[in-house]
Amino acid sequence: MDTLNLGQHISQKFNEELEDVRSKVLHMGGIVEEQLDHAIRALLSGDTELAGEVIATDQRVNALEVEIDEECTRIVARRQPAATDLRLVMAVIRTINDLERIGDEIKRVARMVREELDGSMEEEVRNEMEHMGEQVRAMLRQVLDAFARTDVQAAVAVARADHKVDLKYQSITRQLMTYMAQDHGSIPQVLNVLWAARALERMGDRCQNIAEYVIYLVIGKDVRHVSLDDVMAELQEQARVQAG
Amino acid sequence: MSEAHLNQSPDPAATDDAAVDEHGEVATSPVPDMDVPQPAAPDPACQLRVRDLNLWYGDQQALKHVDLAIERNRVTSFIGPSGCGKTTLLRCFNRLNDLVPDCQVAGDIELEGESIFREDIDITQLRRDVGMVFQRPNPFPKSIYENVAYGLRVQGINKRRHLDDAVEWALKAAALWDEVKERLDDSGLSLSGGQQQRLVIARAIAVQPRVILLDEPCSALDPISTLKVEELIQQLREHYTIVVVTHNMQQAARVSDKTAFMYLGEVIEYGDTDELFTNPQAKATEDYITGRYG
Repeated sequence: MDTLNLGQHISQKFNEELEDVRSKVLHMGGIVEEQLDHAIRALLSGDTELAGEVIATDQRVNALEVEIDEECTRIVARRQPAATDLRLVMAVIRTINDLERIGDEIKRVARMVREELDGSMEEEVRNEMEHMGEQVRAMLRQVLDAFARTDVQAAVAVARADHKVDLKYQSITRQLMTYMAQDHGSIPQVLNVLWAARALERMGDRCQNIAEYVIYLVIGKDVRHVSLDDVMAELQEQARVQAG
Repeated sequence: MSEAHLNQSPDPAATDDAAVDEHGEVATSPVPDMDVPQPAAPDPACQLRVRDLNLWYGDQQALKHVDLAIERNRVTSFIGPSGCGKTTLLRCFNRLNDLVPDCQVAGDIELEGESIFREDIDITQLRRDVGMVFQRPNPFPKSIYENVAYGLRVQGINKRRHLDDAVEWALKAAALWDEVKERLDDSGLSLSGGQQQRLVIARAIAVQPRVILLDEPCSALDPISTLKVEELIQQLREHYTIVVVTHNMQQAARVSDKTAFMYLGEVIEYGDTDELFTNPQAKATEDYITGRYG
């Protein structure tokens, strides 16, 4: 991408520094994406070995967060970035925090697989969890694409998708409660599935956060706590002004 | 200068115009007893308003269709590359460009609603109302005291008590009093660069201007002196409208409420400093403040 014209600074070194943090964020995102993919597979299959790998990978994610954070601090101290550059650095600092937290949620799911879940769950629940996992995986993939391409429309689509994940979570919760009411003996097992669903729902929230940072990066508006319809109206207004 | 100086009122008749410095001394504007011209009553609408201003040096057009409204009691910065016209525009506000041969101006500038180009204007009074501080500190080869008292003496104010009060008040307002109060008779040239610049600012405010123009006021100063002058600018904005030309974008970002980006004689973008430095609307502004070649 160079919609942000990152390569056009008079200082080549500054170009390289910004490009470096940007590509490291995408690298970190790629690891988290793979972690999520493995964790969902482990959850559905009860593959404890795979779950163990997911847990081990979290170290790499944490290390990257610290490394990128330090680079951003150096850029702020040495370059005093402004405008797009400043928004990029701010968006990166926030994004890596959310990616790291997504990594933590993934690790939580993986721990459950390794320690408490054995892959046995009702077929209906399995289908629902698989579907929810797919939704969150798609959100993460799309939000990383939106970040890479600085694509506001894609970011808005991701933010909207979080609502579907929330609905799915509510649906799974209702379903699990009926199981618990019917069979008290299943409560410990069902609660674990519920926690896993909760972790997926939180990952969706974090993807939504990242989508909001992408919007901030590109159009310079902080859209946290703003309705998506208002964001779209703002985007249309900007497009109208630019058109003439 | 202590926080208390912020309470100094430009209206000398006000009862709350006493400023207490860090030693508990009360600085009161001396002007009630003096014949110093008073600033006009605060008018919320009062601004420097530039209307379709064009300026030529000979055949060379240095300002093109400049329209700006400079807000009262705000710090406004002009930024832009060398030769973009920011100093030229600044020098229009007190008609210093009149002194430049072959300089022609079209358009208008209003100070608190009145054109500064009207025929019956008193240029000396205009330059008192719109004080200016230059890039290099330029104290007169006189004592510190006489530097500050100079403008008042020109106005015919010679009573020692009045001058003493005015000098102390202006030096306190310029955050220099504590550093020079024991040596007011020393030459102004004996001060450090940063102190000289604050002395020049004290000289400018001693005559109670309405607007203070600062033309790269810190470019000849070290970082600590720069911070002191910037702090002073923040305090002076309580009572004066301040316009700063600076090459230092971080300085513009630090001290100003509004920023205008100029390029090739035009104001490309003018707006709140916070917005301009985080989300500029014009690509040329973005390129300039982020160090891109546009």
